[in-house]
Amino acid sequence: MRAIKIFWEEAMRVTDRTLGLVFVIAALIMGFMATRLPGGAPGNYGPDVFPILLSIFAILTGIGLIVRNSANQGTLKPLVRRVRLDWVRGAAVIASPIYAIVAMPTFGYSLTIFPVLVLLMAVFRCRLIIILPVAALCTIAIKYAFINVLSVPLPTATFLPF
Amino acid sequence: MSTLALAFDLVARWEVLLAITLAAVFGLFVGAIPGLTATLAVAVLVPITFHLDPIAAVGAMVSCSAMAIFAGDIPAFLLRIPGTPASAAYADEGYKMTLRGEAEKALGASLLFSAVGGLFGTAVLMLAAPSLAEVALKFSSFEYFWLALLGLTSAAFVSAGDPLKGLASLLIGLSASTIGMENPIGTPRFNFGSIELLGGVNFIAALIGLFAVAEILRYALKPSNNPHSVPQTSVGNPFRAWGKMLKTYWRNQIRGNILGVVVGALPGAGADIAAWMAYSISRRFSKQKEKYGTGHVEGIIESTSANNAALGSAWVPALVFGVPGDSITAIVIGVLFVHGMNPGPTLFLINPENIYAVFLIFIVANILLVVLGWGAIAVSKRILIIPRRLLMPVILAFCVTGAFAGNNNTFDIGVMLCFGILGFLMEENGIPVAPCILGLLLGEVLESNFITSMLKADGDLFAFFSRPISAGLGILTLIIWLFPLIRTVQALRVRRQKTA
Repeated sequence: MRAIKIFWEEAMRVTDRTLGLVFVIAALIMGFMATRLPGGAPGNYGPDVFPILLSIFAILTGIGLIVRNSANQGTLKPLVRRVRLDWVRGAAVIASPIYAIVAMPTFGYSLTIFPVLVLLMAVFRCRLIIILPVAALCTIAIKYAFINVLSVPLPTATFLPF
Repeated sequence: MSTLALAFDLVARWEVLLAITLAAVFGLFVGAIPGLTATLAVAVLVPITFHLDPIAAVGAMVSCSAMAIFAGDIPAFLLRIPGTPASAAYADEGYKMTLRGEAEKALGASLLFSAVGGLFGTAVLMLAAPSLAEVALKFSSFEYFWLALLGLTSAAFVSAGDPLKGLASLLIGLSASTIGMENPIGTPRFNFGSIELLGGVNFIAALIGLFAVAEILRYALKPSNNPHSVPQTSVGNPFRAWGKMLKTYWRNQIRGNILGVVVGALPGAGADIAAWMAYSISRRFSKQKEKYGTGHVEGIIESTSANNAALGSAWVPALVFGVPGDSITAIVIGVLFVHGMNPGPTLFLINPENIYAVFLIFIVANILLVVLGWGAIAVSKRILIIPRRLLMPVILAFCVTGAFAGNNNTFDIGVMLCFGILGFLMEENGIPVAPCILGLLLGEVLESNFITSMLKADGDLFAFFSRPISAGLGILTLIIWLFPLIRTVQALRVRRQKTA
């Protein structure tokens, strides 16, 4: 009896052909960049050798993905299930570390992490009455654990005297 | 008075036992925090050990590292954030068990087999230290090259469901490992002018990104796919469940222990590689291959047995020859020198009770692991009661802090984010992240040993098969490489015949 395969294709999924093509292009770029690296190592085994070998393997892998996609065409019919993505929440998660990179050296640890927690909890639809105390408590607890217990220095605000 | 009795006297003192217990609690705490490794836990302990006597100092470091390695499994299983690189090998397996309500079973298995693995490693350390160290020191760049390639191959072809996508993931990790100055002539490579990237990609930041940030992104982007919180079922008496697991999976445990001891004894290999290789081997030889990757306890058992066994055997080359087996033993060697216990063959001749005391400490630490570990599980599984919409922001805050804490710069937060997005996109397209992590971890080892071997052999590739161990490892690796290729060709041929 022939097995029936059902493939779930979600919102961010691309075909093996596209994936293989991306792989081949990225490998070609890496291989080209590797050839521009300075030589000078004994026996001609310089910093370019390993990346060039990797790019060759990556090109072969990419071609493998493309070939497999072509071989599977017609035999497999994917059942597409579109999942609705919540872009606002996703953007908030990506924006939080970016904000931390920019703000932490100036505002210090607490004034960076506290707003991040408040923003994320608000975007994730937590109740407002618990957001502020939980965010404050977590900021203090993480800071205390890292500074006092683990002896890891965390940045302080440059404009505050303490 | 016999040496063993003298050693027992050295250990059975309140200040030694107190140091071991406090260090164990500290190790549990550090290991459970994403981004902080067992090595960091031991490093933080170093200044304190200067005020302790030598046995208490070594005891503190042994118990701290054993606890930290186990504790890495707690966030890995509960939140999909591996506390240590060793836990990354089977993090997905444990996390999927948690999502099924079996967190207690997964963590219980990890705890039991960690302790048994640790005791096995200690037994080997006691009985075969000098002879095992001699074998380990015979490894040259050829053997290390094949060992690294075998580990990577196993991860890509055996542990990943789709070998081609596993290979793609591995190549992404290996490519990322080429960034920086760790290359044959120490020239900046693919750093795009960035000073921060001269030292390469921060492994811990990448690890946090690939696992934790990718998971948070998935939660944020797909709210309909995620449960509000994860209800858990209790396994009841943990000791009864352990008995059943020991009876069912005793082969996995023994195989994991042996592999862990062998890999751990090799200088530079350590618990991380042992765990990855054990997981791959477990999947390859399992009768229930199809269950791997869906939350199957078998993979956890073999890997966790291997990583804790490796922890003990990593001390073999450290104690016998003063050559560290991993980063933890490298720190310990320094502390031993400070306390006048110079590692080397003389350690077994002058005051041998000291070395036997170290062996006894290993046994005490592994027994303590069961007691404290169970307490840690009981406390930590309560995390799952917390609604995920409240938990996820706190985890992200921890991730940001953990990534920053490694090198004390905000650049690594960016590295974490980039790898988080990469991990999310990879998983959405069916590319497993585990081989990528291993590629990043072993890329530098693979390249340096490949280049060294090529220079030694003057470009002759047959030299890679000229030594017996090297040839054995090489042939094994090539068989694993060729196997999926043959299977794919056969499958294509069968399909063509059917359509024709």
